[in-house]
Amino acid sequence: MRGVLTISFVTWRESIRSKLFAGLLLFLAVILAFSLYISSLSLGEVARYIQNTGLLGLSIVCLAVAILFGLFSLYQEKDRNELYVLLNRVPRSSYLIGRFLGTSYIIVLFSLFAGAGVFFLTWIFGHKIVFGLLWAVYWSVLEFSLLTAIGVLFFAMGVGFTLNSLLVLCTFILGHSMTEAMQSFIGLGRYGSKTYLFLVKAITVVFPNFDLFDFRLAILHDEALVWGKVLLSSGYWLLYLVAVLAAASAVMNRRDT
Amino acid sequence: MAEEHIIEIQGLSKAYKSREGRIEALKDLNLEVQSGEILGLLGPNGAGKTTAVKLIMGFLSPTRGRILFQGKPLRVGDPRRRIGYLPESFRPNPNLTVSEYVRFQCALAGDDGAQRRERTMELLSFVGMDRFPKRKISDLSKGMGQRVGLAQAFAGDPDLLILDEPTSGLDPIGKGEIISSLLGMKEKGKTIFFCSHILSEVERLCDRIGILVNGGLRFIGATADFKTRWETQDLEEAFKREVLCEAS
Repeated sequence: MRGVLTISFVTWRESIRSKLFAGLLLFLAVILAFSLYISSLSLGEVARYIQNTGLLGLSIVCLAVAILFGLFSLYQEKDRNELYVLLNRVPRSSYLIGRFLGTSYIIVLFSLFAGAGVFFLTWIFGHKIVFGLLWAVYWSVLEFSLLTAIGVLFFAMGVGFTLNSLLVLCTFILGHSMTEAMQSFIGLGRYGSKTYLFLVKAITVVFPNFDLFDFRLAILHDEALVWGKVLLSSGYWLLYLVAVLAAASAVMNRRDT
Repeated sequence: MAEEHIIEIQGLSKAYKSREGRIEALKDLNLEVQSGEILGLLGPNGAGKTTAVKLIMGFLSPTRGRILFQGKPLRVGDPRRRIGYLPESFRPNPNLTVSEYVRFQCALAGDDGAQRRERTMELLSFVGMDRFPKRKISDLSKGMGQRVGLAQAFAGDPDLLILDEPTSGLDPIGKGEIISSLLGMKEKGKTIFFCSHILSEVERLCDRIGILVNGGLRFIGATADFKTRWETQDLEEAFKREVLCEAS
């Protein structure tokens, strides 16, 4: 545990010192400023435009954090041969979990910055206080930490950085199409067997379903949160995360590094 | 006697599959490193030195054979906390300062708060980097970076140091400083196993040498014995004859 925390703390420290961190902060500020500009063109929908554009910015920035901080740093560490020094001191699972945790701290930070930014802009310029935006931070952390863990699994499998980034990006896009895909497949198999329907549902659960963390529409439409859904999504995230990190550790333990 | 050997390598082999077929990077390596000695593993590029080190460190799984450390078998993938390791072409994390990096390694090696700070300064002083604790690693020269690498290898006060080409790419002054540090470690009773193809430093440092050519151990013993074997006083000449003999 000590090794995990030490590595996560160093991951955090090296991340906040990198030029990339400042670059992403600047990008987030530009997106928030852009959301203000876009909202000024709307007709009486200022708050909604700020939220819509701001939450989009949050997703883009957190995706960049998952790939650039979560994955690129792993590959850099390997290139510098520093990976071997670390694996000499801590078990491989501790290394992977430590790196994952460190990146998750950065995802939490950026989600908080973006969430707070959108909250205050909506309040000041849209004259609306939307506490649901705090939930956006929560869902963003769940979604992008899971995506980071999936990237860590690909790293453990020996996939190169470029392919890993593409796979993570594809997982993100496909993961957001899961509900739609499930509905289409269920529609196609309306007259099919129960096995078919079970398989379709199983695939949409086994493949990461990021739609379960997408509460943006609910926030935009001021819909109340359904606690059952919150618990279900959080439980799904926890189970999926544990499974992915356990698989990553098992794969890395068996592979030559 | 087994107690005198800090590490015993028994019948270690490693083969890879490649497009050209099966490549035997290491063939039936048998080697013992005695406590308190400096053993240099010499060989031309591609001889299997780094493969041997990675097998000892558990980063690669052997095709055959086993490794005993202080009489106990080492498992692939387990951390080797009692072994300090400096890999080839090592570059420490550029976003940390010198002292932060060594402190980080001391923390991973198990040192506690105050002890960690003290130990960090001790290690930096030992490798001659105590004047630059606040300097960012990205601002260091290659030689300085290598000295930081050496300091991290000493973290946790390991019983054995395994160093892969510790002086590669360094200027003569940098090399001299690293060699002095290693001799200092030997005086403290540490065992050092290192790979190199720089013969002058091997001759200066090592109690014994092992000559690895094409994955096979051709010689193990004192440097003087190796020179006598090839009837020359020049280690480089003896080494060349050994490698060329293998090639022919």
